[in-house]
Amino acid sequence: MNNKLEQELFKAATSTFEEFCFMFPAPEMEGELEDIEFGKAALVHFQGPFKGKLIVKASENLMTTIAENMLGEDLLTEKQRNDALGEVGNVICGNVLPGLAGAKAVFNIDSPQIVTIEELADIQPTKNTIAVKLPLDEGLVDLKIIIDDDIEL
Amino acid sequence: MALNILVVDDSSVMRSIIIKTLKLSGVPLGEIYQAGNGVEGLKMLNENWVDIALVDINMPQMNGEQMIDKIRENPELEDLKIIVVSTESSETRIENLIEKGANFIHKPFTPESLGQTIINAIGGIDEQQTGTGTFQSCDFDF
Repeated sequence: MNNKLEQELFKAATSTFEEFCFMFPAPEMEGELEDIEFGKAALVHFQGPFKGKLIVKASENLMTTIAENMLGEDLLTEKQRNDALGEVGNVICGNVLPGLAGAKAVFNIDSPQIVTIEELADIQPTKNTIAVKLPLDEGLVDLKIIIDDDIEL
Repeated sequence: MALNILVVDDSSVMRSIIIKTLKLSGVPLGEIYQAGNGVEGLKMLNENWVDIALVDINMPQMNGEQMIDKIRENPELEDLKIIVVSTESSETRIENLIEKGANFIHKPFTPESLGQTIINAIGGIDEQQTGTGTFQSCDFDF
């Protein structure tokens, strides 16, 4: 897969985590985070010049930190934690699509869903799958864009 | 003087983030109202004096664009400043929103950029009518 597209996804994810979650990339942590167990994922479908989905996986602990940082409070409910990860997915999706399709392309982005890692098993990668890992101080985020259409990016 | 602000977004998390960011932006704040979609947003506008509406686009029941159209049809709301807060990145769609008289800020945003967008929306002029009286010039320190 095209390295430029991976960079677009990485850039969109990094800016979202930095500006909304106050969480910064920690590439030196990547080796320590390889065995991380992901709990849930944000799944965001989109349609436009092509259709597909963004998947953002995080561990349960990282989801808690994301939500606490975004909302500025602790003792959050599961719904708040889920909604926070969903919103992260929503923002990343909106920011990465122009990098893939151009600034004038018009996409419709569905409301994010929160799914378990088991529920993701039915989603198969395609030849147009862009995957990056974003190591943060607080944990590892696994991101994938799976484009359903057979196109050349 | 303080600005009364309406935040319209179907995500309660995003509404909390926007409100938190508003408080960090240095903008003088009066009342902050919230709504989960365009229908609720219009109801809040009917019931309260609002200076600025921060509006998401993708919402159920009535989306942000539909809400803006309804606002522009109402002569009583002609002075309402509207800022679209969205992940929308299509130049085509953004231009369409600006043509409807809305300002635009892209998610993610910082307190500084949100504050600046609000200043731009209200014109940064010395006197501005608000719900609590006349808004004199105010220096925002970012």
